[in-house]
Amino acid sequence: MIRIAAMADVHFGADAAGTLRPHLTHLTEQADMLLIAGDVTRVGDPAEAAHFLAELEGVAIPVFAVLGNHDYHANRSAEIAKLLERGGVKVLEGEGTTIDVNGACVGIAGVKGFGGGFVGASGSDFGEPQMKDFIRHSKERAGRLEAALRGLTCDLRIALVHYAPVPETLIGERLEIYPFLGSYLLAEAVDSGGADLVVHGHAHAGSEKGTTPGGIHVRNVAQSVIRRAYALYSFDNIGGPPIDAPQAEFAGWRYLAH
Amino acid sequence: MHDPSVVSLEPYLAEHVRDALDRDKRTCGFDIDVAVDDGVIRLGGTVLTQERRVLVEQVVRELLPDRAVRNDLLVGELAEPTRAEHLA
Repeated sequence: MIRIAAMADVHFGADAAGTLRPHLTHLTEQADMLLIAGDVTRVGDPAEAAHFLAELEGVAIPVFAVLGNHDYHANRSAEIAKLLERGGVKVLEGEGTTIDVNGACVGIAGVKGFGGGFVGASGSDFGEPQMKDFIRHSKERAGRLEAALRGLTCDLRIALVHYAPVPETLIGERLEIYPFLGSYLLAEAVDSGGADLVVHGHAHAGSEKGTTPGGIHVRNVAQSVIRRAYALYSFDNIGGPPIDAPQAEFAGWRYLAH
Repeated sequence: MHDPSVVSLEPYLAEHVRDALDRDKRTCGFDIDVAVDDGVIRLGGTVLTQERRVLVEQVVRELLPDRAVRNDLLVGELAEPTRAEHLA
């Protein structure tokens, strides 16, 4: 069994200190890993990421994250990534990693992704430089995701992104802003590269559940959507039963007190 | 002939308020819905803390001191999940 906890869009800051930690008390016993689908911070200040890390104290399972648009706001995303890594969070951007969970190999490919819209209503690589930059950025990130997924040979593969890959998990948002919330290119990347689950955030007023055209589960775990500290998903037919104590090889990724 | 002096710019007000909230360091990055109903600024959405809820209203009142403000912002209540969704 593989048990996955996932959260996104916590938009943390000094004023929120202490609000998350009480709700993470049972996380270590409930899940084999925690995925964070971006927007750890409110305005991209590394100090906000440090406050978020403090909330993870005591969490003894591997933690993987991608950054979101809020984490880029202050042009200090590299510092945030470095700080999170120092705190035991593996930050992915266009790369994949694997872990052994209950005797099974789990691969996680992560990328921020970007907007652009969905099939029949998307922007194209045409016109002003700014428009071309926008779409090319989306294409480039989706391409990185596909390559990262193709590089993973595992029992279970997870795509971790911030932006939405399908419009289904945007239901509840205004239709007019869909192109700013995600891109079909991400869905195409996971359908082409192969995955069992896509976890994303960013769509605060969207819906939790969707699937790609290729039938891959998509889950929007934005905090305001799941209305919990994190969501839990399980793949019951992969790997052995849960092991109570965290495995030795996870030690390097545990939260390190600072 | 079009006379800008008699045209109401009220339809644009909600977006200007939202833009101001995003530019103000105190409220930047909050996800706030802004609407203008019969001249009243209505704030909606969910924020993480009561302090953030109060701060948003304060920033809007500073911006538009002559307007009535209705604060419908909710403070998000978190909880631990009680069960997992089985995907396979």
